[in-house]
Amino acid sequence: MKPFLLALFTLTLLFACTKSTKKMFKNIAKYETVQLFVIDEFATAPEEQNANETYLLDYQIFNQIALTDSQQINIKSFVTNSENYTDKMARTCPFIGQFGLSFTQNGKVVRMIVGHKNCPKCLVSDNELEDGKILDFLDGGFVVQLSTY
Amino acid sequence: MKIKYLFWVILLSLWSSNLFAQDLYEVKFSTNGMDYKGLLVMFNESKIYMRVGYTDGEQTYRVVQVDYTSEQGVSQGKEYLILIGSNPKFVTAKGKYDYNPDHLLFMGEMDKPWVIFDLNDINNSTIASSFKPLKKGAVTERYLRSFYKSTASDFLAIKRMFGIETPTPTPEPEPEVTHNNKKATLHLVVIANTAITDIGAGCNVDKRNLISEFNGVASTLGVGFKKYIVEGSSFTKSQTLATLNNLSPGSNDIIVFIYRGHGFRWSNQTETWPQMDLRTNAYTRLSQNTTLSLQEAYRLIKSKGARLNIVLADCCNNDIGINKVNNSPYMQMQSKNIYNAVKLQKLFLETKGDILSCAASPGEYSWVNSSIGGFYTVSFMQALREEGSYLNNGVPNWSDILNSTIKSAKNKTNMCRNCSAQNGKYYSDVK
Repeated sequence: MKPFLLALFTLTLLFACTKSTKKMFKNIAKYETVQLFVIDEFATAPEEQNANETYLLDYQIFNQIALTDSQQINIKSFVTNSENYTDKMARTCPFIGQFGLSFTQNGKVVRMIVGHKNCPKCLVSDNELEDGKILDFLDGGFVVQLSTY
Repeated sequence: MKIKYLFWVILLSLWSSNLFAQDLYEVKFSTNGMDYKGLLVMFNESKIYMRVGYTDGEQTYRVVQVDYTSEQGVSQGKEYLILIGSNPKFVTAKGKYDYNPDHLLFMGEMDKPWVIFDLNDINNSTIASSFKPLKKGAVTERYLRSFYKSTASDFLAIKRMFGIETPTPTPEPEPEVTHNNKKATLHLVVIANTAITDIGAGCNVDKRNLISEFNGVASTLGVGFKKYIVEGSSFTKSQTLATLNNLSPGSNDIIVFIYRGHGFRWSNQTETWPQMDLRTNAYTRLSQNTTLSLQEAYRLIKSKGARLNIVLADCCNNDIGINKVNNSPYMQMQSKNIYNAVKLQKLFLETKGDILSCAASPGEYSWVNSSIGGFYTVSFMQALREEGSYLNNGVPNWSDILNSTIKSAKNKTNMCRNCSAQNGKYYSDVK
């Protein structure tokens, strides 16, 4: 019991995310290509989408930002670290899209919509797993970082 | 008595409105050949005390009161809750020996807490020999007297709470409470975004609890109860406005309006109160068609002429980086009935005026837990129960409830390692 209590009082707090989220993070970590897009603030319903435009999880893509290898690594490293998300807690602010991310390898893809820094959440969807899921970032630092790319 | 998942029982007692606002537990433990019996009284996560009775080395029975604060966390993947004791005060004469406050550690799946005697020496601890909630019918006056003097206000309050004694001079509420010869009705309006992906589950928990809570309040008061729920796919601005416009309260009625959903403020907004985001998905743009300011809802409700208007919003109040767009012409819980009816009367029937409150100051987030609900909403229900309870020795008033709600919601964010502080705001003009 002693080691456990000792550990307790060191307040080593661990993130407890769902199995599917963990699997999604694992997939992102092993996918090689990362793409970054500037997207619309709100999603467009499939029936209203323009055939001439491109969409990521129903958010219209305005343009793509070219990423260096190190920037891709940085993004993957941040996104797959569960410590960068709140645990079971959510802000009651509206999700507004700002950036889109796609992580791909051999036709497999995980898509992510990153919200505005003032409401730092992301919508993430893995073709292999469940439908889109919204996670809260600890803060808006990642969004600010993406803005510098 | 074996209590499964004790950790969750205690946590829910502190954080949620699913149980009594004032939960009482008996804890027994032994150390150094001495037996201790504690009565743990919990109001919320920051207002807890335990009366501990024991016979000391002088063979004299002593009672000491220890104050507690709570901390919750996860260690090695296991959740825990610890009640940290401080400020021991002797209720009886002190005698030769001091009393070091005990600390109670609740772990997931353990049916009894650890009693830790020294936080600096974790080996100085033991598992409680028993831990059980106190229930009506099982508590006697003699039992309570082992913790309280007969004149102690909490002794009298707990006696009433457990039905041990009927208070003689306090009048029971009239079966039909009238004012200006009209029967009062409590109108509960809950606007809850139960369908949204990120916070829908938490909103649903709050919605259920609020309905049950106010149904219990109305029942205790003996007044009528009408509920108006806007949720799911009907969670829209038009439905919200229609609900508010169709309200027709009498002049003696009470309206309680509670919004649970996303909230924000426009970048160019100057008013304090948040905008309510009345969308259920990301396919709808934020606009005047899909948002309603809390102030506008308050104005509409106030114009209905009810005696008492309570307008609350548990939502964020942060700038979303978008200016206001003028683009539109569109202008299970079971109530435990633990309330002291007389105190509820003071709050709901002997008052007149308006209350407007929200969960966060401009620029701040409001937080929700998908299992427990919104910190502000849960805190409001805790505060209402505390103020309307037998254990409240003072005259209940709405300012105390709102101050306590805001303080308790902030405390909950302090206990959450990933949450930023939320400081609710309120305006009250209740006489």
